[in-house]
Amino acid sequence: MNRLVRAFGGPTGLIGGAIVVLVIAMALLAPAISPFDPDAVALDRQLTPPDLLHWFGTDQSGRDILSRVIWGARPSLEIGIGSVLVSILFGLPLGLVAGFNQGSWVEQVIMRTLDAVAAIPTLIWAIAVVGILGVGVSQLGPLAIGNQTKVTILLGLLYIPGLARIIYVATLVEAQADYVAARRLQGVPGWKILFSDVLPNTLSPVIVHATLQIAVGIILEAAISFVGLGVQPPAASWGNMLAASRNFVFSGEWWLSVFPGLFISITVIGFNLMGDGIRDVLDPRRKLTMAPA
Amino acid sequence: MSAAAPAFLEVSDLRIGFPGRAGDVPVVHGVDFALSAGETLALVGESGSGKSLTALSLIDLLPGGARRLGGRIRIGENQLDTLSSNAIRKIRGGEIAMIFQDPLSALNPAFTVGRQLTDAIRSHHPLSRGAAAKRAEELLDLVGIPSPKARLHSFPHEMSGGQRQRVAIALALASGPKLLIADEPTTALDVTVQAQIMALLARLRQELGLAILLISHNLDLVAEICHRVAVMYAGRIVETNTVEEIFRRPQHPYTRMLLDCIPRLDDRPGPLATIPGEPPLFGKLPSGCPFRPRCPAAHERCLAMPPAFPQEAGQAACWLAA
Repeated sequence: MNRLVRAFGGPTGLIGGAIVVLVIAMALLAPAISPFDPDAVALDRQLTPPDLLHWFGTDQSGRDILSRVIWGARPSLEIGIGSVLVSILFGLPLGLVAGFNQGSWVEQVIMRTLDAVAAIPTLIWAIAVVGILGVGVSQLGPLAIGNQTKVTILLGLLYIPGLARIIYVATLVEAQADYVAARRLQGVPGWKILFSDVLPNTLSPVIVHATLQIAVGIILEAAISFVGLGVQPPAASWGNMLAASRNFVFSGEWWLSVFPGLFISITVIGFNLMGDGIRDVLDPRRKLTMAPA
Repeated sequence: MSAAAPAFLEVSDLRIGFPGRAGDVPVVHGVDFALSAGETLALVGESGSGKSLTALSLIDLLPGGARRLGGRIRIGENQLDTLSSNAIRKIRGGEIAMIFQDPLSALNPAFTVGRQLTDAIRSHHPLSRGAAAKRAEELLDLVGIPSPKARLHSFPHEMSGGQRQRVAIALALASGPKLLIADEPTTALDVTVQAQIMALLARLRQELGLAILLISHNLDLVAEICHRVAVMYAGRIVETNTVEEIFRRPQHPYTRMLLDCIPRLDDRPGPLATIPGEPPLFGKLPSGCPFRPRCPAAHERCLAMPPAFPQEAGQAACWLAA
C-alpha cells in the first residue's frame, strides 16, 4: 500500500488515480452496469425524484439519469483524452524542433505561429469554428467527420500551443547539456539526437500537462455541449445533460443538474489530483526527498 | 616540436570571432600549436582567454554564433578547413573525443550507462548489441569502474561524481579516438577525486597512445600530467614551453603571476595572491601589449607596440622576455 501511495506521489495522488480508474471503468462497462437504456423515453415517469428504482431520478422525458450519467462518461472521456492525444501528436514534434533549433528561423516561425493561435481563448475558438462548420457531419474529401470527432480534433489543435511551449522550454534546456554535444561528436545526426536522446528527457512535464489538460477537455466538452455545439441529443453527455436541465434548476427538479455536474466535478478533481501526484513523482527534487523512505 | 614523426594535430593561425553589429568581433587572434600522439598539451588561462573556444573549434562545436574566421587545422591526414561538414562529422566522431566539465550533464539522465556506451560504440562500429555490450564492459573496466558488468545497468544519478566522470571518459573512448580534448575535466570534482581522474588520464594516454589536449586554469593539475603548456591571454598564446621550464623559468609576466597564485604549504598565512584587474573585453584590446594594463613591469614600449608572438618553446609574447 505504501508503494502504491508513493507511485502516485502521495495519498491525494492515489485518490485522484482511483477516481480516474473508476470513471474510466464506468465508461467502459456502461452497457453492463447501466440499469436502463439511457435513451428510452418513459412518458409515464417524467421528472421523478430519486427513488429506489431510479437512483438519480428521471428527466423531462422519463429517461433514467443514472444510466445517462454512466453513458455520458464516454463522450466526456473520449473528447478529454482524444484531444490531448491529438495535441501531443502535433505539439510534441513542433516543440522539440523549435527548441532544438534555437535562434533559427524554424524556431521563430513555429513559436510565433503558435503564439498567434494562443492569443484567442480556446473556448471562443471552439465555439466559432463549430458554429461555422455546423453540428452535423462534415464532409472533408472522402472523410465523414462526426461532430464529436470534430470537437475532439478542434480542441486538440487548440491545445497545441500550450503543450508545444512546455516541450519547447524543456528542449531548450536539454539541448544545452553536454550529452547532446557528446552525441554530436559521436557523429550522430541532429534529428536522431533530438528524438532518441533529448525526447525522453522532456517527457515528464508533458505527462503532467497532458493529465491536467484532460480535465480541461472534460470541462470544455461540457461547455461546448452546454451551448448546443457539442454532443447532440438524444445521445447523452454530461455537458448536454446540464444544458437540458437548465430549465429545471429553479423549479425544484434539482437532480437533473446536480448529478451530471457532480460527475464532471469529481472527474476533473480526479484528473487534477492525479496530475499533481505524477508531477511530484517525476520531479527529481521531490524524488530526492522521497528516496530514503 | 620538429620531431621525426609529424604531429597528429597541427593548428596554425586559428582565428575565431563572434558576429557583432559592425562585422565579426575576433576573440581568438591567431593561435598556433601542435600535438603528437602520446603527448599532453595544456591550454592554460583565465576565463575568457579563448582556451575553450580554441578547443571547441577543433570539433566544430563552437557555441552561439561563434565561427572560425581563418587559420588551418590539420588532424592526422585531414585538413579540417577544406572538408565538408559531413566529412568533418566522420572525423571528429572517430578520431577526436571530448570530456566535459560537468559529468552529470555529459551523461543522458534518461538512459543507463550501458545503453549510452553501446549507442556510442555502435555509432562507429557495426557491432551487434551483445558485442557492443561486451565492449562497453571492457571500457568501464579500462577506466577503473569496479564490477563493470553490474554497472552497465546503473543510471548516471546512481553514481558518484568521480564515477560519472570515469563513465564519461569511457564514453569518449568508445569510438577509439586518437585525440582526447579534456575541458576542465576535474572542476566539478572533489580534490582527492581530481587526482584520481588525472592519474587515469595519464594512464590512458600511455596505454592507448592518446594525444590529450587539456584545458585548465589549474596549474597544479597541469603539472601532474602534461608535457607542454601553452599559456593563453586575451585570445593569444603568450608563452609555450615544457612543464618543467614553465615552472622553473616562466618568461611572460602573466605566467609568473599565474604561478604566484598557486598557494603553497610553506606560505605564511595571509591573503592569497591574485592578479589585479580583469582580462580585456571581447574586441576591446588595449593598445600595445594586451596584458599591459595588468602588468607590473609595463613601460613605454609596451604601450606603443604589441610584442611578437612566441615562435618556439621558451619564447614569450613580451618585450621583457628573452
